Amino acid sequence: MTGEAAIAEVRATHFGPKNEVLNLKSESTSKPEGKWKGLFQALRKEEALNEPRHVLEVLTEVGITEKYSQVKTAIQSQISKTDERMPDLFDKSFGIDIFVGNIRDRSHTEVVQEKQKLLQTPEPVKNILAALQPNSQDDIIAIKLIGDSILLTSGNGVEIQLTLPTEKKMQKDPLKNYLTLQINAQKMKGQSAETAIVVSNFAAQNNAGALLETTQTIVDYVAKVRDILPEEISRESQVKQAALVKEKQRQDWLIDKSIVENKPNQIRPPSEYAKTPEELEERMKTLKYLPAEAEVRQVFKGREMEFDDFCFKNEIYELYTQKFIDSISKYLISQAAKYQDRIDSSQIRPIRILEVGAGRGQLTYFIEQKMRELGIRDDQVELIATDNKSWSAARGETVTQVKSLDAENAVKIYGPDIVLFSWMPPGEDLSPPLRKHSVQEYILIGEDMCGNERTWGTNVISEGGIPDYEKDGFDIQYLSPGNDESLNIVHGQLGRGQIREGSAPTNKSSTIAFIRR
Amino acid sequence: MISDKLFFLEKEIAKLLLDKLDSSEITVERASEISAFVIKSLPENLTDEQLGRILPSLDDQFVELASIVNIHLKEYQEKNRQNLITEAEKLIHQNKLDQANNMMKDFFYKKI
Repeated sequence: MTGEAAIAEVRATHFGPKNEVLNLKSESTSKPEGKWKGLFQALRKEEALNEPRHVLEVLTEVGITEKYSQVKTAIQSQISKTDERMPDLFDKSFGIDIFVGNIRDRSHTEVVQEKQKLLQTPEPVKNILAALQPNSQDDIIAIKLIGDSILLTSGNGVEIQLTLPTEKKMQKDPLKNYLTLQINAQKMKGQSAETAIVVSNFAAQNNAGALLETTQTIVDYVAKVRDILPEEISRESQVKQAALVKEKQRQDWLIDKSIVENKPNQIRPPSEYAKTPEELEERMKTLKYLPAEAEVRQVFKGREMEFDDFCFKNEIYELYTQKFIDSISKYLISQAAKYQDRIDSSQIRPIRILEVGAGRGQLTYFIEQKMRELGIRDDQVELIATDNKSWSAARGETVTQVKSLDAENAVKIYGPDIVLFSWMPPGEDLSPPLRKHSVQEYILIGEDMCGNERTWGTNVISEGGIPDYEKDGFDIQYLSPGNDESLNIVHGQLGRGQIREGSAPTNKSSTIAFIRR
Repeated sequence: MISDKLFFLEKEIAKLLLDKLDSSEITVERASEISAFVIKSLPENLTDEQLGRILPSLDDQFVELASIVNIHLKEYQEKNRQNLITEAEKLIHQNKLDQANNMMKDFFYKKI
């Protein structure tokens, strides 16, 4: 005799006078009068009434199911009100577990003791347990509500599962919509061939009347458990609570988009400007001095031709100004907020902005300073500066930590949402790695001499076809003025050739975003 | 084999419960309790005589059954009354007047 025989199942009712199944699909439910209306109408038909006992059995089942449903709702409601936890008691495979036994808390134990009579195993269930284990005293120690089923588990491991009919099941598959009592003694201590025979016999002997009576007592039993249920125990409420906490965390984590609109740009007043290129140079030696755009223009007024030399001498390709940092930071914040919306509460993480070819790290440093000043936290936006150090190693000093990584590896390792690349070295298109992995957007700053034609897609003018960035699923978006399609939101940009009077437009530094479709 | 009387009684109860459910006079739970009680109280192998004895107590717990119980009870009483009259007439013809008198008294007091 195998263990499989230690499972018995008893089913009842829902068969009509000629053994046909009452199919209520076309008549049932969801009418305002009541969800069982369709069933009752079917039962009122003469052919159904000619089997009155069957009608009475069905009415009995319906009531039990209703009662179970109310009990279950009440238990769930009670559980959801509590914060107490006993998580180690729960079987992960079930939604709601209610343990009658093993209550640790003293006050709860007292509650159980006081009402111990209510917890006595129902007589029909007791009879089943006694039949299976004539020489052993066994009681139900745990109740689990699983969907439309109640699973009772005894101390010795006998499982008795009662499945109730539902309107939903009746609509879906009337053949499977029956009241079922399943006894599983496979996990019972001391299970033997005799056990299996007893279970089989029990199934053979049982009838609809006995099943209804057993069902009634089990549902009553669960209702009584509700009455004594201490304020406790629900993995479901725990999960719900955790979800609420996570959602609250997410709400706290989301960037307040009004920052971008409401925080005015703080510009240094003219009285604090450097007066000469030499003074400006001196101030900028700290690497942390961020001049106003007007300040730079004023310093070089009448000495415009010296600006190139100034940049060359100080190894500046892009001279970052207050206005530029303010406007690009605000753009990055609004984009970060957009990318945040794609992240659900279970995967909260900072939006990662990676700068490649960061040199001394000034761009990352200034943007980070600006973001923190605007109230963006590091759990919202994270900035990382990287450089392959091929040209800047000799310069040594950086204003923030700059990690030694080339663009390809940096993107691979850090999985950024946004990549910044200021002044890509001319001649070589280093943009392909920026379109890989997690990158949603990369922003190029500099003149169009940076990279090569493929970087900007201008190669298609002579070669035809479509730009590489489009092939990779990215669209181009001009951010700084100077292009008809520009968003015109990044200002104050000063490339190394930009102050010189009469500078050709091609020498103008600009900011262009490539955004994943 | 279920008797005709039991069959019609169950049918009337089933119809009554469905009517009351339809007009929202009772709840689903109440109808369920009554149904379970009826199934339990009236086994399928009940004889007419046993049914007659059980019938008066059927509406003790569930007043909703009173109207049906009354109708069936009256039938039983009428049948008993007819049987009694026939029996009493026989006794009177046999000049067993005391016996007939006692039988009538028994019936009268039982009815009260």
